[in-house]
Amino acid sequence: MAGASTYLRYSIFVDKHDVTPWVTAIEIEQPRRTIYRKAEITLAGLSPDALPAGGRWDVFGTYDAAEPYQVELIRNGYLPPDREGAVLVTGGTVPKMTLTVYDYVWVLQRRAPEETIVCVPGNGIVWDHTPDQVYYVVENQIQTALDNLHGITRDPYKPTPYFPAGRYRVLNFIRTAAQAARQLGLMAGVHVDWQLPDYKLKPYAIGSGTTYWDAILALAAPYAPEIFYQRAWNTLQLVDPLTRKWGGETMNLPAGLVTSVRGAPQTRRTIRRVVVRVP
Amino acid sequence: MSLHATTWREDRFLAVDGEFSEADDFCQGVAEVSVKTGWYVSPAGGEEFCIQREVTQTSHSGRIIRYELERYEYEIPGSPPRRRTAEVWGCVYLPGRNPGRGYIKLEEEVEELYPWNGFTPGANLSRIRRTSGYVIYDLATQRTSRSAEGEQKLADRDQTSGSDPRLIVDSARTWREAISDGGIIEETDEPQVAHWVDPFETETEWVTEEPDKYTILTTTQSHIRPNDVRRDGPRYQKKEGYTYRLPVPLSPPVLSASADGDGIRVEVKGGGADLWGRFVPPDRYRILRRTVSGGDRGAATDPNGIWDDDPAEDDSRRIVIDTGYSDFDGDPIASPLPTASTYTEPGDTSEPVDDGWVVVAEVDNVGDRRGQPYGKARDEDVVTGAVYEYVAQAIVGRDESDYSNTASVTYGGASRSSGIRPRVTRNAETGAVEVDILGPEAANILEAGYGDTITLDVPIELTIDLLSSEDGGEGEDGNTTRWDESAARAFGVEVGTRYFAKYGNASLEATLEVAFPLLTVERGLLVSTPDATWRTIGNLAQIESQIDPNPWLVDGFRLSAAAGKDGKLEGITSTTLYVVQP
Repeated sequence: MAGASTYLRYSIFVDKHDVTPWVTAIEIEQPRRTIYRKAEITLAGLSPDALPAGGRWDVFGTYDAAEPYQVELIRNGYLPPDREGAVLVTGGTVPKMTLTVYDYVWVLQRRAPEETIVCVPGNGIVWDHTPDQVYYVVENQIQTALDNLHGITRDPYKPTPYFPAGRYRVLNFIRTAAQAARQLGLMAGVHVDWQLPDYKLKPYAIGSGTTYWDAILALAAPYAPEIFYQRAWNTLQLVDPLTRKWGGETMNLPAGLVTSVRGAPQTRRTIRRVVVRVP
Repeated sequence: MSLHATTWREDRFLAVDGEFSEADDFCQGVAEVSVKTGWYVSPAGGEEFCIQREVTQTSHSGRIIRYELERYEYEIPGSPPRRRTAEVWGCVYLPGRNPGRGYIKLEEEVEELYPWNGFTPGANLSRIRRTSGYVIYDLATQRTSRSAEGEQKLADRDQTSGSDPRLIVDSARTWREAISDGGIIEETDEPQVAHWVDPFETETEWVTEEPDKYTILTTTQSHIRPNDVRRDGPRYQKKEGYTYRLPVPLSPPVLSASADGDGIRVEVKGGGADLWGRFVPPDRYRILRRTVSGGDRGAATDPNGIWDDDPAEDDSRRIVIDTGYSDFDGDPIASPLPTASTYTEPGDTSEPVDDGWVVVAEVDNVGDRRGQPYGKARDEDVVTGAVYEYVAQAIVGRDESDYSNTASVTYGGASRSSGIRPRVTRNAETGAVEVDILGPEAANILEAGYGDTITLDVPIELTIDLLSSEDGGEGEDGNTTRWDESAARAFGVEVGTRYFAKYGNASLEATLEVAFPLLTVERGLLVSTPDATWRTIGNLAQIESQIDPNPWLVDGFRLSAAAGKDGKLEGITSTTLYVVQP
């Protein structure tokens, strides 16, 4: 099995210093029903001062077995979907570093977190003076999107009472959820394969604290998709649970290799009622 | 513009060859008879109409001694003729008129036809025929003035009183009668004279239609003999029985069928006919069924002889997606039957049974809530596990439409629940729509009120219907904006279907320890362990690997490596697979 370990070669840099020799254990896990991988790396021999608790670090890793020499950067400050920091450092005599990584996780993060992304259906450059078309002017669309974000309902046929001053990244010609997810994925650098029924969106705003991943997930959430990431195609697949297009490849495990099987009882949520609110 | 002859046809008969023997008024010396007909032939083809008919009789010396011309006048092709004219020319001795046997016109007919029903077959044309021609009179040579009686006779005959006073009015006979009776003496000093009388005879034919027959009455009035009135009829022309009707052009309806409780619910909508802007809804619908695949089989009816007893149903393996709606009143359609199972014996490669369409119901068009054509039926004569196909026809009177679309239903047996029940509520003030979708009852959970509630805020854009004020709307201009509830309901059903499919069924998860570093493992991979012998129990499911040919889905994995005593990382020796039933 020595050959296998060479393919799982990690080079970890802390403050641009290679700390690979101090790694004593690596554990990579993909929890159930997630697309991210959690890597737990135990370091030894480091000074505790070099790894203060709560610190943030740049960590390079080559963990892709298909591309064993590709160095990938998990940069400081990127937010995983369910945790505060990508890199958690537990101080002590033996510092422990826990990484929550995606495949290509960085592309799923917001590049400019202070910006609010607004998806509008039109091109946003039309200025029509007829009162009926005021709704399609970009300022009104932004206002409507922000209203939708904050759950405010206004009369769409009345002009906006105030001008929505601010800085927005406007994605125009976004009329449906699939278009929004695809555009968000392109901004993040990942293809989105929307295999779900599409639906028309109202003007849609994504708050400044929301990651691309969360935004895409929120768009697909009504259809409870199965989410896969195809590494070879850099594609995030949102699969309809009714169609069940799994994997595409079946791996046969010989009898001697399966050493133990633990059956788990029902652990999924049991849903009896679904309430869909259309603001 | 009447029709004209475009095609001519001429037949010639020679007397020397004995091709004809016609006894006619002056057939002596006829050597050749020519019959020439002119036809109107439409450029588009179709029926040919005789326009003109000429009969020419020529003597041995090549002189035309008789000529008949008959013309029919049509207005449009396809309709009966409106007018018929005929002329007779000939070389006849007429006293005082044609002593030299010149070639003159002898008779003229004008026949007006009145097609009161232009498209009814048969000779049912009322007509008036007026015949003019030469009339032969004897003369009283010694008379210089006519008596009062004679004046009255002329007046009765509608003739001018200023004519020859020597005429013996009662002696009038037509030229044809005079020749046939030998009433002309061809001597110029004979007291006879010929006058052109217009008309000398009128024939009227009246045709009236009755439900079962035509009544024809023909009256012939001679104007030279006022008492000579010949009536023919009434004659009766019995109508032939025939059926002529236009079928109503019905368009097929749209059918949808779904398994529902202890039967199959069939809904039909649409259909009807559009008759020049007038919509004719169907009276009723006919619903037909065809059994594609038979239902449960027993050991006696197994065609392959490999019958095995039905194993216990594994509830957790069934993915039941029931998208049927509840009743229109909102009440679920409860079934008194317990949950049944579906079984199909393995290796059964028999062809699907096709026994043709069978009428299962004829339902009335009861109309839906919007008044559109709608009918529904419930087919309870179904067998668990069978596959049925349904079509429908729209019926108006004796007319029926083509088959509608075919809906295929696999009847999975009676179930407790009635599927997903959506309920749409709208906040009147804000316009926000809330779709509350209640899932089907799980077969293996007995208590009520179980399960969680998921709330989603979706900024979906629903279409807006501008409903008129008679629908209860209110607004400044009589209209009001209202969310389309059907779109919201459909969207809610879509969402709920997927959530219940993903979370509503019992699922068994397992964790496999594999003594091999599966470095390329990814989520979504299918794993089967055909040789491993293991058994696991979870919830109601008991899975043994060797009887479970279905692959498992990798839902996650775990790889780990640790440094040895020398401080170097050892290789990864094992993989933990988190698998789940797909």
